[in-house]
Amino acid sequence: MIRVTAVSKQYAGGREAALQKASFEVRKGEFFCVLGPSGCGKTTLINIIAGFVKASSGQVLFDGKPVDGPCRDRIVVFQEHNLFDWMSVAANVEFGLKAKGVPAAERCRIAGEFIDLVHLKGFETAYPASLSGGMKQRVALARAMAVDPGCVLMDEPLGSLDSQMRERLQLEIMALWEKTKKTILMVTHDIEEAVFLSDRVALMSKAPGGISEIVNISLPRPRTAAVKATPEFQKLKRELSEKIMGDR
Amino acid sequence: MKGIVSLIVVLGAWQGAGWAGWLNPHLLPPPTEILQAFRETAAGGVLLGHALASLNRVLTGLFYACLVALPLGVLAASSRRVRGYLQPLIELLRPIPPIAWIPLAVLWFGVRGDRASNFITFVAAFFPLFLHTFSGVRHIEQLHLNAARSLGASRRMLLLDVALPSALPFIITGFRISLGFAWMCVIGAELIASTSGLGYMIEINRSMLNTANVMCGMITIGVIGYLMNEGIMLLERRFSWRPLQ
Repeated sequence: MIRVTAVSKQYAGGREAALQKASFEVRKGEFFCVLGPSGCGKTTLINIIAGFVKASSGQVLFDGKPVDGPCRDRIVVFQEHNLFDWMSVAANVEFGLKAKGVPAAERCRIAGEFIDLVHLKGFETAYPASLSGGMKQRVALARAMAVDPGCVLMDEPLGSLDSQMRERLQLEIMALWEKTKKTILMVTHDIEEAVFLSDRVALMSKAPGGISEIVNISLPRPRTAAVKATPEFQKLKRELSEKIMGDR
Repeated sequence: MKGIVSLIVVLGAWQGAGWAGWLNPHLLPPPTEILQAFRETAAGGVLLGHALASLNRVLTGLFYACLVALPLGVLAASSRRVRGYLQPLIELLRPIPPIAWIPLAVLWFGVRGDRASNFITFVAAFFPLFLHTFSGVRHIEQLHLNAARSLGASRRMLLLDVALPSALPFIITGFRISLGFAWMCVIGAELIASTSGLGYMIEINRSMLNTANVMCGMITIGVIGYLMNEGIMLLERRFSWRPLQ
């Protein structure tokens, strides 16, 4: 589905490469995490796959076609919420549908469905300024999912939330993924989050960032919060943590 | 409350000085005489006629300024090339006070009719509107643009659903400043290049040494300017999507 081949990025004026020969492949329907310390080039990687930034070398193929520019088949959910502040929750979720040319009645129905899915029923007419951080991120998730993209790219989507909200939203992202069967590529620095959500985790080394290893997470599905207490989960978490530490 | 007290004290002292005969009524008539002037000019509809003439010119100038400044502002903000062509031109013209255009406006349009004054209000309203639209559209957050582009927004949606609403608070502020500025300048234009309007009214009464009418016109100018500003401030609050903090 997404094939990243030896992608490097050197920003003009930057001393070191932000990204060094990253290669991996994300399969269709998979939950794939890229795990790495901050400043290792994860955001650069997402921006390249999304098409906001051009790679200096290497290639990104999406469904076999090279990526050139953003496209609604690869929607990004960012760390900072980027909802349109001048639109209601419903209008935000409908935005991508409107861009797609979906008729108004249909838009309203689909948006309602996804707003329901992220547990924001009753907030359709609210404006982003009146929502909490967790709620805004839920709207952003609904907005991304509503356009029925080929895959969703998530750049530390829970990075700005407190730990309780993080855990709740992890469950919601998991539920959304199970329900919609979308391919999800998520970038995070949180080991527990990566292990809990993913089918596979790619480890990224520190600057200049490259993929050092890809680890299978063979925990059974569906997973609940209880899985975090199991010895298997703890073992995986310890393993990944050692690999990341060892890298420094 | 305190404002009313100081107003009463000043008016009282002014009136008292008038009664005591300390003031030359041709230079500074007491408040009662100005009130009398209000009654006389209002009764014949003269005051209203002049006020409407001025307002009409302000709104006409503002209308054309919107027509030109809004698209130009959006264009200059979204295209580096247009910006390159426009910026030096705008920066050279902007420091010229609209009032300084009056002699030229008289040459071009004459003193009869509204055209000279309309032109002056257009010039006055253009720059604040243009600059606010420009910076409003320039200040759209990259995050919002990226989100819109990744959701597949067309250029039309980028403009109508993202750029303009995002810039709207700026544009309305620009509109308010333009309106105030045009109001000041129309009076200036009418002093010289008109045969009606509040500016004309105070100038013609000055030449007849009818000072009470001059001051009556001045007060009307102040009150209308104040009301317009307050009105748009209401609009500003209504359309400001930015969280009020």
